[in-house]
Amino acid sequence: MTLLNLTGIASGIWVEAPDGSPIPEAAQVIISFKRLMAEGKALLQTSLHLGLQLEPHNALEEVAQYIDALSLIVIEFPVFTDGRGYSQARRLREEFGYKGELRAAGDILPDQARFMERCGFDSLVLAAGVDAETVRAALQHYSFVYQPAADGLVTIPEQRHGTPDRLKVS
Amino acid sequence: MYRYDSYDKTLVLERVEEFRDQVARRLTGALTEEQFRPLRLMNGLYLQLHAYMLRVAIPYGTLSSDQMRKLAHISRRYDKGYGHFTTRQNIQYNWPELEDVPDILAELAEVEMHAIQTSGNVIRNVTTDHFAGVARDEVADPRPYAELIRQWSTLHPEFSFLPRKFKIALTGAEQDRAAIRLHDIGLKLKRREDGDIGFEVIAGGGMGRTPMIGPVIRAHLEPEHLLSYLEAILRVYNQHGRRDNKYKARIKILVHELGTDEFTRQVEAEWARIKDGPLTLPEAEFRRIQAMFAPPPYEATDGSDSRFEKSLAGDTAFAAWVDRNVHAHRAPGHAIVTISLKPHGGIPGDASAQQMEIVADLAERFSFGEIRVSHEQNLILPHVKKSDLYAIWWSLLSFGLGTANAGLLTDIIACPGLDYCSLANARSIPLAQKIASRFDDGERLRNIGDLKIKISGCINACGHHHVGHIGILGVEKKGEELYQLMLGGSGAEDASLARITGRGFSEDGIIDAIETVVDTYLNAREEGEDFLHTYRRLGAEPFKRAIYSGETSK
Ligand code: SF4
Repeated sequence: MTLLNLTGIASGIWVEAPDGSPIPEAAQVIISFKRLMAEGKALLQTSLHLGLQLEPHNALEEVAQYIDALSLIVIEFPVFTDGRGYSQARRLREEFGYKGELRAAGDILPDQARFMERCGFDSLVLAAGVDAETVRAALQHYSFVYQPAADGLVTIPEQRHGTPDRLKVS
Repeated sequence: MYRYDSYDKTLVLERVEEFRDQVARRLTGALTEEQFRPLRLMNGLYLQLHAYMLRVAIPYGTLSSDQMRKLAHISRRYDKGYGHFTTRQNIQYNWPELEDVPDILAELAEVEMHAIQTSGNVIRNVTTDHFAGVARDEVADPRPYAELIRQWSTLHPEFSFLPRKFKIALTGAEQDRAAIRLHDIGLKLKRREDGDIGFEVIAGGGMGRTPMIGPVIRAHLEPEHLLSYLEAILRVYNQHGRRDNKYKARIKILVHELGTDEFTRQVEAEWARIKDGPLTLPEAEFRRIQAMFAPPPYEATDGSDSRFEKSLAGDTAFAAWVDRNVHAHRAPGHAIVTISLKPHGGIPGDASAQQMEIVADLAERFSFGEIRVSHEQNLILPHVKKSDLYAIWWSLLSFGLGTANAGLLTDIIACPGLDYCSLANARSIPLAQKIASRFDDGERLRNIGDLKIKISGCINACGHHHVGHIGILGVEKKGEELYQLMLGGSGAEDASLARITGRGFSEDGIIDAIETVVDTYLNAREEGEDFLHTYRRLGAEPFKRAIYSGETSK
């Protein structure tokens, strides 16, 4: 497995804490949605850096109250055809204002990396057999985008008519 | 027509190069077919029964003469000299070689065309009224909005792996020629009582195994919020649409399972959040696009045309064609022409390279270089001067394009069926050909009047049998091809779903049954009443009795 960093965010080492097992002695710990729901309040009292592992069906509304306490959210793609994670990512960024690292894991095709980058992901966990170079090349295929997304890129319609208001510094 | 600027061009060229690279990786074996499959499906390339099939997008069914010539050239150079126009206003090539596909796409890019999102679980090529911009009953031209949707949906980062394919149709007219109530999203431009124009938004319609007529989820949407509203619908669908069962994955099932009210509530809540964000329609960009759809410089006439009237009076065959294939135009002295791709005995929707070139030439000479593809698989010349109609008709006749059957019984929609499709239970094309031969009599057809027959080779309903006035569905029973007869469907503004009459028929049997249905209608109709209205007035009973027990009603 390779971790491909898209945005240069510092990651560090994360340790997974499976449901039911004690929280390990580590600075950065990843827990499941279920565990966050059950123990989130208590964990917030500790000095831990918390990471959250999200499944496609997990309701983001439930996560909202913890957003500022999370420094990593891993969104799982169980199969590459399951596109729910793209909406989860955009909502975390645009609706809930999540500022920490957003990571995609699971079944990821090289040609999906670009979409993930646009939806606000910082890093991708590539499965064995997925070539990081192919992914990097796929990220470079397009010069322009038509639609706004979580990456805040200037869109083609905006470029056609000068800098949009949302990007003007007053 | 919309013309690409350097941004549009660059994006399409980059897509070609990306696909060229993917094909190269497949050809060297670096990608297995399994890995290549999702990539080719993002680009309209299917593997059919015998070969690859490439589906090329014709955005909202509009083509220039140059584009049509390119389509003809591609069919000649890379295929077997013909192409197939589809019910989604696209064109399909049935026999391309994989290694040629990147070159085909590069040639398409030269004329501002592509195959992006013509397959896969994505927002597909958006369709619209084939009379858009020239129809008399139009409130506003839907094409600029269709182009906005095309751009917004192209390579959408969030909505490229939806639960299932997603089809959007628009119209700006009273009469629904785009079947908007049978799409994942249907949009209709309407004028409100206060004079403001907005979209009526319909969601959750569709055909397939579980046909549904979509409910209206918003009566009036200000046009500047079109894209944010679409994004809200798509976001709700992408998160909550079913992914456990392919056959329940379309948005219609979500709308149905949640109920229209709850679905609408979720959409409106999401929309409230994003409504005034960066998707709000920029006025300048809309005007830029709209300007490209301005009406061409029609020659001013007072609408009367003695030459046309003379040909009409002097040539009954021409008059018959005008009666069916020529439609009222917004500009005085002008007309809209339907070029039938349904010659009796031919393959519905097919056109040879030569026919495509003839149409391109005629459009250039007589229709400001513009052609449309209708969802009924015919071609349209949208801007014809009435005085040119006679000359056009003669040219069409000599190339097998002059059949006077638009909207008549032989203007059949048929899916590819068992001849091409690996999912088929039964043949569709040969059946359409045999029906047309059985009814190969212009006078009889005109007497029967408006009657839409739609044929699907299986329950997936690509031939739209649910909305045929007469629908035919291919089924398999004990290894035999059978056809089920359905009556009373409509895909228009009075949308309804056809109902099965009873047990199925053999190929000959179904043609006899159609003839019986038609005779029953002719006996029972009231003055000026078309088939659908007679059926709706009488119900299915007299037709069933006639088909299954040989009684004809009086
Ligand atoms: S309706 Fe069935 S047979 Fe016809 S094209 Fe669609 S999937 Fe194939």
